Amino acid sequence: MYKILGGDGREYGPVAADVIRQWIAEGRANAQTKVLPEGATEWKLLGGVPEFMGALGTVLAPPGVPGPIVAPAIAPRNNPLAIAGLVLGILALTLGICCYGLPFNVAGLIFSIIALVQINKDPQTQSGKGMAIAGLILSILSFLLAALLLILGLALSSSDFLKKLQNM
Amino acid sequence: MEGVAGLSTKWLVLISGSVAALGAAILFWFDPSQYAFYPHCIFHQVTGYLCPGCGGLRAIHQLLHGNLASAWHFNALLVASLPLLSLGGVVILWRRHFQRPVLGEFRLAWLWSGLAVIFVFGILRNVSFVAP
Repeated sequence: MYKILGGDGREYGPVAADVIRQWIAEGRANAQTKVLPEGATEWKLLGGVPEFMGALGTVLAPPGVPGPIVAPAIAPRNNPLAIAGLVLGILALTLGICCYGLPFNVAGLIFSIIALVQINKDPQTQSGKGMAIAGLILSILSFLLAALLLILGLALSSSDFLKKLQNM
Repeated sequence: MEGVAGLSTKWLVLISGSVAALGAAILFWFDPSQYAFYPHCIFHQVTGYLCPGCGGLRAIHQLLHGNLASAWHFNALLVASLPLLSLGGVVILWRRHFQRPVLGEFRLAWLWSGLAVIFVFGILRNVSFVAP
């Protein structure tokens, strides 16, 4: 695992070597980008790490021309699970009339929690915390609505239920 | 490891496993078409149409008794998606435990296609010439 120091002065990662190779290929990082291998105490230049020689070689500028110092412009990406959690939370409340919203609020709860854990673990590359929290709240609300409907339904059918018990 | 809501994978498996086992035991011994204590579908009661989940409990009861054909009759979508749903559960637990992506990243396209399938099934099962 490696940390990267962006041109904006912020630290990115820790990320796997494969991710850094991808960043190199995308031009977000180059030989002059500073890198801190896990366990090391000093920042190195990416060009000085043998592991990335191959990846850098394929995008290296012609010899003699100094390579541009490209900052890894990593825009935080919305966590797809957070979007899914929000969509499912909305569906759980609007379609709660079918099966008490059960498939949607269970899935919404799971997706939102996983999204929150992922975002908290890596807040620099993942966004969408607000959506995940909204999904979580909507799913929980749907559970409450389901419980209310269930109690209402039981109260309405309890007379039938008692009759059936007496006939047994 | 520190997991979702502080629960370790072991406890998550234990809790979800026992909830599933309890539900399966109830559904095995008490046929939902015989006993009235099961929750009834509000959508079906209000509109008279079948919602995508209608017949799900009866389908699971038939499945637990090994009657695949009548389970399919009660709710085909549920029977068809059970293998996929269990695979999804295994994948989520596997990822948590080994901290390694399985089957690649989650894609929103999966969600949209799943919702589309549920929606289309909900319409088709109410059309008389498809599901008499």
